[in-house]
Amino acid sequence: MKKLKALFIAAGILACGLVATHGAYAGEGDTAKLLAVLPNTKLSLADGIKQTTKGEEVPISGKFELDDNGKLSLSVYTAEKGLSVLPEKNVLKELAGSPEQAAWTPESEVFKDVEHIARSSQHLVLNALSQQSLLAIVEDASKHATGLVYSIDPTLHGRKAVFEVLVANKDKVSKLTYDIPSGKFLGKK
Amino acid sequence: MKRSKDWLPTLVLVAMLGAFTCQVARAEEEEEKEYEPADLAALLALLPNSKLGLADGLKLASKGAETPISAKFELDDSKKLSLSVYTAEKGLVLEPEDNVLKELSGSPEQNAWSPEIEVFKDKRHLTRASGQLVLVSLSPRSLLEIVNDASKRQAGTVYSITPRLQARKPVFVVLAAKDGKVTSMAYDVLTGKLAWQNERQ
Repeated sequence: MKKLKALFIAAGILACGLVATHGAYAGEGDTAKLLAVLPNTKLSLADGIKQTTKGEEVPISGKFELDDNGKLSLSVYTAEKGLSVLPEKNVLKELAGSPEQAAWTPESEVFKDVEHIARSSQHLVLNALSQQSLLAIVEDASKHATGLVYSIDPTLHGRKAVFEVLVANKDKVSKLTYDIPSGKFLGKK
Repeated sequence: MKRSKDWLPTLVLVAMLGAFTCQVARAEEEEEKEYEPADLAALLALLPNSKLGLADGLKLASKGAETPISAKFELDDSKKLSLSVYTAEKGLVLEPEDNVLKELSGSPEQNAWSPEIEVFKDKRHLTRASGQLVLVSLSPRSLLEIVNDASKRQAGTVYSITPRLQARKPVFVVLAAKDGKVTSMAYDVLTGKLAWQNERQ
């Protein structure tokens, strides 16, 4: 009985290890693929942020990513009614499309699923707390790291509100963090 | 010229008072949206029937990692008194999209509170609860600490605590009732300190 129990525990540990390892490689693989196609973009993240700022509509996060077909896509989440309107009374959506042409013509999707509603609500609240716009943070990040800024994500680090900014320089990625309430640059990894 | 400069401090004071009045007015506007005037009157009339305080509801809804993110007395669909607590089942460290956001609600008119549980899947409740989770996670003080502090400052029954953004400033809005009068208090989420207090009919 003891041997059987030990066998189950060992199998469990092995399974967890395999899942964790696979996850890590999958993440690294996606990043490597993204970094390989990033130079194809004709637009910067700042361009996407500027283009999605229309009237009251405000960007709340932005990133380059691979779409479902593995092609380069520029995605910006926005709050249609601005930062002063609470998430439940706002329209939270994503504008996404290929940045490989000079003109970016994104498709627009209003979020209806649990995962995206929860995530974009968090982004809206965190942006509302900031004295600095996403654009200002992205422009500042460009001064702190060489390369292409390809993601800005308002997030919580252990109950601390930060903007996490990713910058790609060839196959290397730098992660920059900014304190959201003060807008101060916290560091680079 | 000298006389016009003498008016400057007065003008600054008037502007500051105006800004403060606007802030209070905005808070009242939000509060009125949360409780319809007729419902508020009925709620205040029924509040004395409760055998539990808001603090009791917060304590009962805190189990393991599960953490309250807002709480209030309200009228249910049958216009009966109900105590409702929103919680983040996995605690404050996990972000909204990785958490389980839900409501525990039930009658507080018995000694034992046996609430029904609803996991939010609709946009209205998910957006609200997600925002509340983010704000509560940024605060150095728990909802229970804020409610206890408000109870010491204000006589009557504390019947609602809601984390919200007011003009992009994160606050806990706490409502207390005594003899048909409502007092609003706002605590700065980031410091946990009382920002302002306002009594009205």
